[in-house]
Amino acid sequence: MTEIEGCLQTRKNFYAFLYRMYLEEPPRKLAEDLVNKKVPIPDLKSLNDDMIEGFKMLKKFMETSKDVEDVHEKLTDEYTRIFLGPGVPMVPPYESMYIDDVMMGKSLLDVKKVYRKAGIGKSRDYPEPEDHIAFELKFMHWLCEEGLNAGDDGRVKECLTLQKTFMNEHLMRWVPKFCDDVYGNERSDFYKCIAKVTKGFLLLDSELIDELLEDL
Amino acid sequence: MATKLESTFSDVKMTRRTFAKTTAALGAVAALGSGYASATKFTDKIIEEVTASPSPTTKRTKSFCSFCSVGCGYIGVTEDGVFTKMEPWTDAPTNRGGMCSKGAALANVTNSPRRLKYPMEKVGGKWKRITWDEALTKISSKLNSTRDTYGPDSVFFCGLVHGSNEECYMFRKFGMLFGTNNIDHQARLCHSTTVAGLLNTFGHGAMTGTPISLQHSKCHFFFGSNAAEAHPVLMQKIFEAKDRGAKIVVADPRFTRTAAKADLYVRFRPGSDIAFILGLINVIIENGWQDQEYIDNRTYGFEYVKEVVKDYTPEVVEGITWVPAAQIREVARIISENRPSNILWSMGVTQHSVGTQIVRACALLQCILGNQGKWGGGCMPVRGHCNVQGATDMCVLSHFLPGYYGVTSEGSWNWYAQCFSDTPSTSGKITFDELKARFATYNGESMMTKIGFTVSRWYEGVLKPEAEIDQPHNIKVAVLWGMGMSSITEMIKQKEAMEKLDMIVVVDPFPSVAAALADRADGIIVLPAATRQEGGGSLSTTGREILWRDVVVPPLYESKTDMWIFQELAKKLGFGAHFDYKNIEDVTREINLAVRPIGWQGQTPERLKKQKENAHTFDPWDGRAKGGPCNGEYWGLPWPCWTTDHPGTPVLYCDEAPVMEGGHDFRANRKTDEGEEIVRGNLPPAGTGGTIHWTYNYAKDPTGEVNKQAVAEGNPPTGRGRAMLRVQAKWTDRVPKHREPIESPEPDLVAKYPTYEDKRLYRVMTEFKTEQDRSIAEGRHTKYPIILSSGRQVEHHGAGAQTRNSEYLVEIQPEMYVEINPKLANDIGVKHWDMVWVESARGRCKVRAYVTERVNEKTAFMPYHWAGVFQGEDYGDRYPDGAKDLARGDSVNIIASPGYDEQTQMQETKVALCKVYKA
Amino acid sequence: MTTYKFLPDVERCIRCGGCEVACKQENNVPIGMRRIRVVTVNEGKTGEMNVPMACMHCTDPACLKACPAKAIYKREDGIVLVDKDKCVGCGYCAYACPFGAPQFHHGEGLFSFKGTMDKCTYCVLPYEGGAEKAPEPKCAAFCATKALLAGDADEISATYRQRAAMRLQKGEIPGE
Repeated sequence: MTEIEGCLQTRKNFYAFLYRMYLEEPPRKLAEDLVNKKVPIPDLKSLNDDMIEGFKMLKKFMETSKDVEDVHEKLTDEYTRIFLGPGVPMVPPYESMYIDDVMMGKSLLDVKKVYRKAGIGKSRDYPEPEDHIAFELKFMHWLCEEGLNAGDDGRVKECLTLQKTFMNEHLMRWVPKFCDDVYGNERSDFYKCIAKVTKGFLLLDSELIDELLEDL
Repeated sequence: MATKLESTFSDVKMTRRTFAKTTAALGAVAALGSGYASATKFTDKIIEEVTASPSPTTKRTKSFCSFCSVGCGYIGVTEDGVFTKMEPWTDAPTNRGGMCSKGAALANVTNSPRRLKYPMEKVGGKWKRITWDEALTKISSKLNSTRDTYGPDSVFFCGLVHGSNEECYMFRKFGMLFGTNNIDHQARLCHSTTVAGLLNTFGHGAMTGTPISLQHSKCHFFFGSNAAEAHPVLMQKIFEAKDRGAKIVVADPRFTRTAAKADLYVRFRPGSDIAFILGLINVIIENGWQDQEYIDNRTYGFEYVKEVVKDYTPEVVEGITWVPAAQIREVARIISENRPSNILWSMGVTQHSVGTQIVRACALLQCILGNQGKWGGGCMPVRGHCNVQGATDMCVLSHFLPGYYGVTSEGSWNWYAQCFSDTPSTSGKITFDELKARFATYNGESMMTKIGFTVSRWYEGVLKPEAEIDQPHNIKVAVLWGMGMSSITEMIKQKEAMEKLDMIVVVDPFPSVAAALADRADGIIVLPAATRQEGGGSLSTTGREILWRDVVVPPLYESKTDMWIFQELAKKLGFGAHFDYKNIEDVTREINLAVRPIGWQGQTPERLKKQKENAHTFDPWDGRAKGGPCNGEYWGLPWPCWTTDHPGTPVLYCDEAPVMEGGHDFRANRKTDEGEEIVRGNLPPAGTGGTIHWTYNYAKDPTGEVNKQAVAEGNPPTGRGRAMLRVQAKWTDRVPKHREPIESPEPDLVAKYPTYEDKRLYRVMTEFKTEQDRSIAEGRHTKYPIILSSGRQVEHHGAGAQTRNSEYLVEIQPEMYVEINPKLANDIGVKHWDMVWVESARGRCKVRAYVTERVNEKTAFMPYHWAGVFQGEDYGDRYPDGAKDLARGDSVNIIASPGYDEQTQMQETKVALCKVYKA
Repeated sequence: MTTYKFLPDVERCIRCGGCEVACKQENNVPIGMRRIRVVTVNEGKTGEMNVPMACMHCTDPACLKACPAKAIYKREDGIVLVDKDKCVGCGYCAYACPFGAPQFHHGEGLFSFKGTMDKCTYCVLPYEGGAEKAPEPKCAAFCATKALLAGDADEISATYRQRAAMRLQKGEIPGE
């Protein structure tokens, strides 16, 4: 595997981790890994402030995680209260809510255009609108995958350019504020960590994309 | 507004080839992460290749508003599958593009961030998402176990006033197959007295004209209707008449926005309605203004009316109503001199302990003036919700089966067993005995023919000892389907009941009060229902017009249509075969087969859809299509529509046209107590081709041949009878007479005009005289000197779950208040917008004071759409975090009257006694 | 040449709010800004009257004359608009306008921070961005009672004259 492929692979998997955190209530396996101290905390030296803080908090969270049932219950409850409802979630994870102050706003129409142009859309079973953070992160994940499966450098460059545009015109316009809101929310605990990591990763990834594009 | 790009880059400078390092650092976490990604419970696939049209499409769908019942059309615009806005549908004959603030906010309401997105359950004090299958399994398990242990009557079903006709029919059918008559809906609280009053006087319990027909009137008498706020677009039709010289008279305890448009406004005491109407009739008879020929030929019982009315001279009536005798004479003169005149009412007439009788008094007035059955004349009870007429016609009611077949008659059940089996729309088969076997037996009798609990007192079925209710066991489970509980009085008792139940099931597009009112940690399941903009089917407007809705946008999130939920639940409960409709049109066809008494045969899905496509061919002046594919049809094919060629009946009882042109007559199926058939006295006017006829046997003829025969003979299948001015002996008051409200401010008048004796109604003892006497004994008329009424605001609707979550509507109408007169305000030391307590014998509310001259110094008014605050305490924290309605307020129904109507158990929300003081 | 105007028939306005919500939705007007609002006079008494007030798109606009930045201009078809790039937010137009059409709300409360002026554009321009659209005011299109008339001045005058004539016929003098 080339260096570029390695980077794409890591990025792809990290996006998978992130979108899963927002897609649904955290899986039981995560609770198990936390209790068994199996969630790896990376070498923090080469990361940015937000990621460092996020992982440090995660480490602390892991240390206080004793019982799998309790932890799973806690994670589920946290996710439900902050992102799900019933009714309006405490921190609505939608681009329209941040940019347009309404649901189903202009931002939703804009991202739908972006996805359509790239040749994908949401599947019939997916119930949320496409400006949900999980979907937007999944899009980045998909583009990494496309890049990995690409036959030629041209396609890889295309995917990376699309990622760069999406990052600048969409993700970076609202997700950092969203992460701050999650971090500041009184109900969040585990998700404080995830919020920091998400924000940090997006900042980091912006630069990674630039570097990858330079190399191609 | 756009947020600025965050620029919080870290200090550590990234060098080239950074990604090698970070790749290494993050690799392990990432690897784990991809493992989690596949461990999902609720979502399977997220992303898909898109091979369809490369460019986003804009779609325009015609549909009808889902707030009040005027039936305003609009065009829903979806861009790229997102419902973005609305455009006016200028060809829709009723509203011609116009909509009020609520209708204009439909897109905003549909997309509200407060929508319920997933089925959720409250367990251990916390809300948790569950899958639809889990939710339906839990619910059906509970329903089955409750049925097995306590009997099917231990479940109470209510709601669905906003459902389509098809879904309301399915709801009633569901109750029948489950085995209980404990199924009821919001009409109980709004026009149940209208139905009882008009059905027993004329033969059908509905508005006798259509909104369009109002344009033909010479005088509109608003009696307990604030159409300017409750039915704004109706005023468009009123103004068309006014511009052509029609007079407007408004009688209302409050100077409403409607009263502002009146030629004559009369203020009267809340609860003195019957006295007022009888006073008018007295003046009419005294002056000989009645239409004697009409009375002689088309009514029965006028002599008895004269006997009662002679005691209600204007001078006597003045003592009861506050209205000067001269004004009473003036009103009588105006409505008599400007005929055809009509009388419009809503809750002002219906929500009383004598509601049914007030309705009858209004009906009597119209008959005596000869207005009933004329274009522009008659009785116009304007209904509240977009499909309350349909829900009523489909009889989601504890005393009727769809089409008004009586629950107490075995023949009705026989008919339905036959229809359920014969309909080609489902595969289910059931015999009469099998249907009966689903019901419990109690005291040796089958519960099948026993009328059930009502929405207004269902909680008594939970709280009262079992010996005091007329069913085997207490109610244990409540299924609240699109039911805003804060529109029901005695909220304190309701809260208690909801805390005692084993399970509460809430089906709603929004997390309504039902999910939060009860202080309980477990046993609530909420199911996200799709809104009316996300489902099809037909609706019935207040004018009996049947309109077809198309889907503007498919159900959002994981919400499902009511139809889908019924079908799935039915499967799990073992009667899925009766619900295996392939599409919603098949349900319409079953209605065409089964609902005969009101003539629902001609409204096939094809005809309804065709009308919608050709709206521009309908003449807005009379609602009739002139030329085009719908030539001759009336807009909405108003029932009765006897055959698939029939144009609909816009004006009930109107004998001026042949039946095949929309003509009609009073129903001829009531006999006098002596057994005498009552038919009209003269032939219908020349050219209509009809004969004087007793009723045909049309109500249980599945072939429709009898309908065709009757119409061919020039008669409505319901025959040609008379309006019953006096009703049968089983009624306490055979002719309406004044009775003081339950909580009356006038002990002297209570002595002269007491209310009814206590009686058992709908499975529970209902107090009338006892409560009235108790009120006097406790001195409530001095302790609580202000008369309190509740009513509507134009910006909000029903219990407010939808409208109090729309930013646009909340911006215009943000807070709950009580309207008090400047004199009262000064007496209690309160300025406009100060906080006050409004207290009654039931409890108290903390709200803003709205100082206005709309109310006089003896009355106060509170809008009823508010919830989220309970006796001054904000219970927003019982809503799931962040799910509180955008705007919350105290609920007037905490303090409203404990009175109920003597026939239908409608709540008496128009008259209670209260006091107001500074908070 | 078409001249676009508004004519509120106050006999018919019942303050249902349909115009307010329709305007908000069509033009993405933020909460707190009211391009059109209905004003009630003599509430609760005889003579109660509701008047829908947007921008009258005056023939001789006072706002245009008062603006020091020359940001306000009038199209040939009569519609008066503001160029938000030129507007300095001084508020003179608000002083000059007898109808309260110019609005400056850009935050909590009515004068939180006075940004550029916004007002009714006859549905030609939304609150932010967007190209000019055909002049089809949604307030009038959605008016529940057809009280608010909009369109070419000659046409709406004819409509109003007919109503006035009908009312006069039955002895009622409009406006009294």
